[in-house]
Amino acid sequence: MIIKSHQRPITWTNAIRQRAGRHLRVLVTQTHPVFNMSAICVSLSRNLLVARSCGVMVMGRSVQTAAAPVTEPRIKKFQVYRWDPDSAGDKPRMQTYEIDLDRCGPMVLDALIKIKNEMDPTLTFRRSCREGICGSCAMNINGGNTLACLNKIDTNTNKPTKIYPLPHMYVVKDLVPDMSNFYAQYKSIEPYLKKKDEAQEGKEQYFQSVEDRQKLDGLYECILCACCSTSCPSYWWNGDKYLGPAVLMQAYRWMIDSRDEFTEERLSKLQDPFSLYRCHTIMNCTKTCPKGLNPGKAIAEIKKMMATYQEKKAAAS
Amino acid sequence: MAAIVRLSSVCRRGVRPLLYQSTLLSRPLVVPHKYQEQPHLLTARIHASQALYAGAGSKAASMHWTAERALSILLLAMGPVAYFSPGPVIDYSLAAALTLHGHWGLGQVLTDYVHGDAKIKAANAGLFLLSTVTFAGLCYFNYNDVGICKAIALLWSK
Amino acid sequence: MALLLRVIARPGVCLARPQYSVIYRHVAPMGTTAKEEMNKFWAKNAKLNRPMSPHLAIYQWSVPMMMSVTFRGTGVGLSGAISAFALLALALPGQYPYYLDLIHSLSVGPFLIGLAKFGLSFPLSFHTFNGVRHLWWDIGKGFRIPEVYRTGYTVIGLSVITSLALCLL
Repeated sequence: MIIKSHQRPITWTNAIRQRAGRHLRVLVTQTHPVFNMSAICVSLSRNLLVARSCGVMVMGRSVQTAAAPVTEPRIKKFQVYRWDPDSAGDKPRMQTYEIDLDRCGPMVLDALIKIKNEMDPTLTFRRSCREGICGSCAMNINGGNTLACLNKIDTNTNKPTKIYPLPHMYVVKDLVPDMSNFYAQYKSIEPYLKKKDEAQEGKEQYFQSVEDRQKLDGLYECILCACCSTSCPSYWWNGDKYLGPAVLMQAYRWMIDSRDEFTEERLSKLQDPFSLYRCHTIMNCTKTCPKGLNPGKAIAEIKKMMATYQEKKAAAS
Repeated sequence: MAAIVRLSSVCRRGVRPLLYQSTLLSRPLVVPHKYQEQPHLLTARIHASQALYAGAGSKAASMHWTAERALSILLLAMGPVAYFSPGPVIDYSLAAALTLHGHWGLGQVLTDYVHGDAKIKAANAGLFLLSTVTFAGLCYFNYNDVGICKAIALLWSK
Repeated sequence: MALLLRVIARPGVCLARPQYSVIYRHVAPMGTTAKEEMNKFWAKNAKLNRPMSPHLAIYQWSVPMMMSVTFRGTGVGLSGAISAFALLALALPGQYPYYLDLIHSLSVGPFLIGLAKFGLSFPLSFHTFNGVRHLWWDIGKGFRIPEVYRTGYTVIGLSVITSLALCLL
């Protein structure tokens, strides 16, 4: 297998190694810009040193440094919150890792994955899409809640990057919070289309004008990462009864959907001191949303609707 | 075509389902449409949430919110009135508005930070007492003393 | 069995849809209500004694956040001052001008007098101007982040200017 040279041999080596699996030993020879040739020897022997089989073998770095200019490694410190539920009596603590930024992708998630792959496999965090659409890697980075896959590492090596789990959440392990309450709150607002007459379902399309569809812009894009809710001090102090900005914005999304026929009932469900009215417009939510959405505004619109909606005379539905 | 639903999947009551796990009951692959509603009913039960506090139809919470804003606007309007035409009417109005605005504001603070049924009850009782005494004191001041507007004027003339 | 019979005997069964549906073994009957899930959450986490992730200690403070907490602080402070005044009015003998003259006679100096005046007027003006900002939010305006900062700085500026003006009055 001959593969062209790559500029970051070590990272690439890891990727190949992962794919090759346990029973393959892969050695990569570095392409020298002068020679312009590269080769990979794939050895199928399990624990044999590949050095014997390939004659032309050079360790990547030494060849590189021979011809390329020497650069200082940019070492960045990462202070990460750690807690292990399986170690009896373990207390939450901060652990510092050092990463060479020249050997790492630009985002904080790249750094976390690198730490897990190369330094500390016990580091635990959620991740999936690595492109800011799944919401798994939501965490507190340098004091603000964002998605680790979208947060660029601050290249100033004089300051450490501090990584904590989402604030005021029960910790399952390291950077993994217990999201069940958040999901249950989302379930409680019935986040699906509700029609008065379900018998008509599927017969015709539910038409929606362009203007009505536009009302959903800025609301439907929520990925339920919980960055906003966990940035809200009211949610910190009253997370059991206050629904939080993420869930409230979704409640609003269904209230103003022209195809939904249960707007009033949805509003009525918020008629208590806690579900909606713990919001005091602190506005941490909008500030921290990694998708650029505005839950604060959505909540204000709900409050306006709550003050002005007329109750249906016929209670039977 | 009769549909046989495995009851163990419907009644989740621990040991009892064992009684129904007879080989005679088979798992259906296709069911007539009329039984499609059963899961709908059950999902309705699962997803229907109950109102935590006020019964259906009570708009108490939103009315309170509206009243708070209305009072704030009223209090804002009272400022210039107190400055340009001081007197007993504005004195007593200010006493009432200030006390009620403070009462509602502190009420929100308590709801935010006080947790636990007994503590909430005690805190709200204490607040009510404080607000009553405050209003009484301000009215007493208006009646027996110079009054709010004059007092501020005197304080600032120094 | 009883459940099955009830389903069959149920009146008003919908016959509109001609298609058949497939029922899998473990669909709806396994579900929990939102409330049940919430209760399970609290019970489980209390039992496992999990730590709470840090919040106030690590969250980055911002101008809007600080203004919000100051709004609350000035509100509580002003309320407390009014209540204290009312209590004193009830408790103390004598009239207001008497006590005012008493404070005058202490001759604390103009600087401290000015400071005291600022101490009273700044909370009042900040709370008033930020209150107007809150009412602006309540009608749905000014929710974009740049607007939040703009109105915030305006409130701070106006508060300082107004309270200084009141002090020098």
